[in-house]
Parts: sequence; C-alpha cells; structure tokens
Amino acid sequence: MRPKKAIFAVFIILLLLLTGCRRFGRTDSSRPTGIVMAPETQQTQTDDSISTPASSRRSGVSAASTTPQNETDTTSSAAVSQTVTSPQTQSVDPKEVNETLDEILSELTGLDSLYTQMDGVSESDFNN
Amino acid sequence: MKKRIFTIVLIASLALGLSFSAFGMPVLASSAPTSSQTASAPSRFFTPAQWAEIIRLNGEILKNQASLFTLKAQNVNLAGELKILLKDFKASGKTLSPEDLAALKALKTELASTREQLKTSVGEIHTLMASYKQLRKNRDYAAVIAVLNQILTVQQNRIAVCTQINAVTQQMIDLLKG
Repeated sequence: MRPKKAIFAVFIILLLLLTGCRRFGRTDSSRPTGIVMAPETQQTQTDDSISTPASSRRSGVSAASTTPQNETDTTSSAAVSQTVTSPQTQSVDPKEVNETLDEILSELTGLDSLYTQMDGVSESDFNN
Repeated sequence: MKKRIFTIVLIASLALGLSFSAFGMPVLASSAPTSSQTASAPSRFFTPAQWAEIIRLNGEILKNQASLFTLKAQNVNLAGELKILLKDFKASGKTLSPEDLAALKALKTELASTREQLKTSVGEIHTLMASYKQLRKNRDYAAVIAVLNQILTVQQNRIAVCTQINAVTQQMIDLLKG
C-alpha cells in the first residue's frame, strides 16, 4: 500500500470512529437537569388571599331533640283531678363546659405545633 | 516506508485515545434504552414515557403543595378565631345547653382523631424526598416514579385531613356563636 493511500484510509477510519463515539457515547449533556414549573402553578400565599370558607353548618353533628321533656304533676282532690304541665330546664355543670373548652384549646395548640413540624416539597426540590 | 507506516499508526492510536477520553467509550446499541426497562434492572437512561410521567408527577406534587399551604393558612385563621371565641365564652360565664355540649364534645373527639392522623404523616415527605434525590442521582427512573407516587399519596391524605379539620373547626365556631 502506498503511504498516501494508507494515510487517507487511517483518516477515514478515524472519522468513522469519531462519528460513532458521538452517536453512542455518553448522554449526560443531553439529560434534562431540572423541571421548570409552569407559571400558573407557582402560587404565592398571602394573608389577603386567605379566605374563610362559607359557613358550613353543623352537618356532622346530630343535634339532640330540642323538645322539652314534660313533667307531669298530678294533684288529686276529692272531686277534680287536675294535671299541671311545666317545662323542665336541664342544667349543665359549668365545670364540665369549662373542661371541654380547655380540651378544645389544647387540641388547637397541638395542631399549631404540628403544622410547624409538617414537611413539604418546594419547587427547588425538583430543580437539581 | 516502514517508518512512515509506524508514524501513521502512532498518530492513529493517539487520535483514538483522545477521542475516547473526550466522548467516552462507545456504548453498544443493545444497551440503549428500551421501553421494557424494569425496576430490577435500573438503567441510566430514561424512556420518553418515563420522563413525561416524572414531569407530570412533579407538577401534581407542586399543585398539591400549594393546596396544602392554602388549607393550612385557612386552618390557622379558623383556629385563631375559635381560640378567641373559646376564651370569650369562658370569661363571660355563659353556659351551654346539654345538646350543644354533647355536640361540642363530639367535635372535639373528631378534631383529636384528625390531628392524630396528621401527626402520623409528619416527616414522611421529608424521607421520601431524600429517597427521590438519591434515586435520581442513581438514575433509577422506574424507582423515582414509584417514590413520586408515594409522595402524591401522602399529600392527598393530608389534604383530606386538613379539609376535615377546617370543617370541624368551622362547626365549633358556628356552635359557639349560636
């Protein structure tokens, strides 16, 4: 083989090898590196945007009957039997009410501390 | 003649060495990504379908996170209002009807139950995110998708619980306001 032809052949081989390396080589540079969040999903929470939902009435609580219990007081006399009906007011122990209110306050305090511990994700977590 | 051929071969070898160091060893076509990749044989490649799923899940997770922020803020507001009402009620010396007291106790029990549910999920997302980052680093894309789905589930549970907490708090406020 003449030297000129040999040189040409080697360069052709090199060219093919280089092309092959580019075609099947590492794809690191083409790998996506992060995710850009769409603008509409980027929400900023401000105090003004916090709205209290429309009042939802007690739907999950079954209210007890409000019909007053009747007490029958019968007095008898020789000639007439008279029936007197009077409503009875049920009393609630104020101590029990206070205890319940304190327990609710305690639950709310517990929720506050729970919210501070609660973890989440942020946009930056996906942009690595 | 021999000297010239030796020089050519030497130059060719050097060029080959340089090209490998610049672009890496050629990868066989058979190891290129296929759609039949499984979790047991993680590949450093991802399929287009896998990447699309990862992007979709990331978007869902960020949307859920925004919803959770809103729900938490609403709850903080409602809880603040309820605390004031409770303190005022105690200071006023008013009393409740037996029915209202029973209702309030039922709501308190419900609130305690939901708080416990929320408590169990604390730290869960943090752990899952750490796992996600490691898997992404290892380029185990099938496992990445699985972890993202787990994060989504935890978030959806939290949204349900926070919604319930808000409803219970609102009911307590309504009850105390009469």
